[in-house]
Amino acid sequence: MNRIQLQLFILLSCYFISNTVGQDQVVANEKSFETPETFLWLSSYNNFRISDKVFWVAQLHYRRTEYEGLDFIGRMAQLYNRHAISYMVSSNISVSLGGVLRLDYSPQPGNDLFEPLVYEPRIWHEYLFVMPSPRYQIYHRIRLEHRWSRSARKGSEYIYRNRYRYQFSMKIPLNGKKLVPGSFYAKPDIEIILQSGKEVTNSPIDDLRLYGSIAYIANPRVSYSAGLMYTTGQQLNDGSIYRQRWGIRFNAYVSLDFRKKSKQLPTINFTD
Amino acid sequence: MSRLLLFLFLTLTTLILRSQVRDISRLFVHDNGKIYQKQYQITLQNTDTILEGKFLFYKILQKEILNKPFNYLYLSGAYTNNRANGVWSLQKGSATASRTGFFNNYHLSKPLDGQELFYSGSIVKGEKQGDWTLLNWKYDNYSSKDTLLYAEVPYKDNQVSGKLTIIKGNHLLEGQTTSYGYTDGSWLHYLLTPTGEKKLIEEWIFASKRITEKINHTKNTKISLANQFVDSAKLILVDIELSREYFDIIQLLESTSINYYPSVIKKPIELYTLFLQSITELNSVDSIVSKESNVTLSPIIKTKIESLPYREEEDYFFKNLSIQLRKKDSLILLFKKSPKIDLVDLSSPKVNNNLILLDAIQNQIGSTIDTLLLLHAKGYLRFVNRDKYILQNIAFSSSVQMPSKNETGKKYAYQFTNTFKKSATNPYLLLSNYLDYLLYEVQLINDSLNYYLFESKKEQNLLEQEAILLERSNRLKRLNDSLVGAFQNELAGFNLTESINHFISSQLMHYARIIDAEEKATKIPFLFDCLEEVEQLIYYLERVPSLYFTVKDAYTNEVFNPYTFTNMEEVSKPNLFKSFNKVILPALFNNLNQLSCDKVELYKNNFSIAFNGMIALLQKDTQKKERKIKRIKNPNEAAQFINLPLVFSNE
Repeated sequence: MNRIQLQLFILLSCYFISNTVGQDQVVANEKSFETPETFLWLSSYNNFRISDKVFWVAQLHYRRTEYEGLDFIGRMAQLYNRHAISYMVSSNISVSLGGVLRLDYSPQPGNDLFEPLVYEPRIWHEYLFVMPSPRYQIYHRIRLEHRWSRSARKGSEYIYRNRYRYQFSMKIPLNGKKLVPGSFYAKPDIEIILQSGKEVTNSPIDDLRLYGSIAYIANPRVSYSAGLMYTTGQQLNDGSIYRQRWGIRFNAYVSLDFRKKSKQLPTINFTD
Repeated sequence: MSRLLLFLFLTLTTLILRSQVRDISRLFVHDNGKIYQKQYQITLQNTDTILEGKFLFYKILQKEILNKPFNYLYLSGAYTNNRANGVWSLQKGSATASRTGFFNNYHLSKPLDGQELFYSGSIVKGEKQGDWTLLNWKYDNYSSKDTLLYAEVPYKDNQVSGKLTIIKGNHLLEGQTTSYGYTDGSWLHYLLTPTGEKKLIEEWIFASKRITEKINHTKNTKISLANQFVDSAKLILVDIELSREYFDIIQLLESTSINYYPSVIKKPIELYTLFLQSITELNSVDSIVSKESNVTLSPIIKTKIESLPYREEEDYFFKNLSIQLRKKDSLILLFKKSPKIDLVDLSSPKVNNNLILLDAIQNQIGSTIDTLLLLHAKGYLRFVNRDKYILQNIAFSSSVQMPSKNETGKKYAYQFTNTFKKSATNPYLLLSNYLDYLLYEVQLINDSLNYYLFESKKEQNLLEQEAILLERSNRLKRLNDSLVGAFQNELAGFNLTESINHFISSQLMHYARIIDAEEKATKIPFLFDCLEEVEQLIYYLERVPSLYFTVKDAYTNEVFNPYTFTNMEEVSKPNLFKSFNKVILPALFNNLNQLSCDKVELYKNNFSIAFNGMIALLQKDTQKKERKIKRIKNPNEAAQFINLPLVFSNE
């Protein structure tokens, strides 16, 4: 991490810490953990290059969760549609800004007390710092989300919250020394998500995610990964209660180049 | 008595000279780089200056040469009334005064060692008279060490006349001359026994001033040396001095008298030789002193000899003979000095034997004819029967004795291809025919040798070419080992280096199996061409990795992966490149595994066509072809499908 990256990281860290710590504090009850839930996320991550420095980020998640005794896929949980414009500051830093429209499905399908579908819009911006190494890559991701959410219960109102996410992850090639097409790699991933807002009283920790996955680079434009994730975080209403989740994730990463062909081909240096 | 006479002579002379003005003259005489002093007395008589008194002529000796060997000449005599008169003595010799000297009468004297020719006798009124003594002796401290020759030469009125005696060691020669200095009677050669007895060994008989007979008393042979000529009408009798030339002619006469074949003119026996040498020395002294003293010292002994002058046709014949001989000689010389004959050829027994044969012809036959020509040129043949000489001395043989031995280790004669037929009776014509025959035979030998050399040169040239070929192939293998390596082998999918080396070896092996030299000579240039093309192929193969990477680079893009934040390689037209990489390129290398000389260049060009073609295809729209080409596994079909004119070994 160079000096600029470090300064930016410290600045942002100070920002969300001050926000979370500055909330009205209430006396917390004794901590307790809920029974873990299970879920399945199928995700498609798309990155479309529209100029040398600018990418269009388009992510789609299909999320299911346990319901009525059926683990992982019992019911539809969310459809997640995230878009952004990403700018490559340098070969190691990118910044992104975009919006999210999340569709939350009823936690109790068929129950009239709940609306079958609730929209949750967000504005998000992200700062990605990459620390390349000869044998692996280290990523520091800071993502800030400004979300308007509401409960699925009928009549509930939207609340506004900010989320401060820091993710540390690595990509370690398993069958070679470099991340090249054909490589399998392991991706350990840990993310802490803090939150702030009027409604956040004693639950600043929205989520802590521990995620391990194995990925395969099919070609420079397509990769796949599968992994197991464990998350835990405070309930919004009662910070002493920690919910827990175990989830299986399948991801596809697609990168397409929408630039003109002539710009894609390198200069031919055949001099015979 | 002599003292009394001397006293009277001196008294009278003194009385005479008193009335005259006498002067001693000294002058230097330069001759041939040497300085002599002439010292004489002159007297003015009336108004004339005349020589009178002692005469000295001697070589001036430099002081610095006295410690080294030096030559000297000292002539003393006297004149009376301008004519030589009195005792004249010549001392001519070489001496060394190297020993320590001693002072005697205020002069440093050094003993001399050397050899001297001494000739002394009386001259009366300008004419040599009485016995003159000729002495050739060696001395130490001017004391006699060895008498090499002693001779008494009798003079009468300045002519050698009377009994001539020559003694050398235990040899004694006694001869007579007439009052006019001509040889006469019997000239007797004795051997002196230790008891002082004389043993007659040879006798030369002169009659009418010319030699008629030579008798060898040791062998009891008698050789008639007169009336050899058939055509005596044209004979003339000529004067000749008793000299080396005369002895040579006598030996020639001898050779035509008996069945005797001298290959060269034999020298006269030593007795005469030394005498003749002494006379020659006296002649050389005469050439210096006679003009200074008006005295000739050298004795002249004359004799007569029959002579038949050369006829015009004889001169013409000898001229032609000389031309024929030179032609033969130059033919032999031309061959021997020919650049075709070198050290390698000399090691060949055939060439060596033929050179020996040519030398034998030259030495045995050529030299006798040379001698004949020499004798003619010297004029000696005028004194002998030429016809007889030719028939006796020229063998007219159809063979020549070889100095080397044959395979059985015995000496042998080389038989000429043809046999010489003595069809002509005229010796001159016979000799002319023989020379033509000889010239033809030499020409045959030369032709045979030339043909052999031509053939051996061809063979040698082939051997040299083969040596170069072998060296070239070895060098090519080393080049292949160093330039075609692991990467090429990996691309080829087999050991390409070994395959090319095997090809080179197999070509040499095929060549080695050819037995016929002609076929080899025809084949070898093609083999050189083949190796040249293989060399070009190797140099091209060296570049193949870089060319391959150039194509690969051209077909490979650097793609940024936004998920890993790394650049990754992506192949453009992957099906096309895969077909090139997996189907076409291995087949091009596989060609090299089945190499043949006629396809080396073709297979080399394949690479160039393929690499250039792939680059050209990169810029073309090949979407449709890309979809189809991935199903084509045959390299020939794949190449045709993308329009690459490649050649494959399995076609």
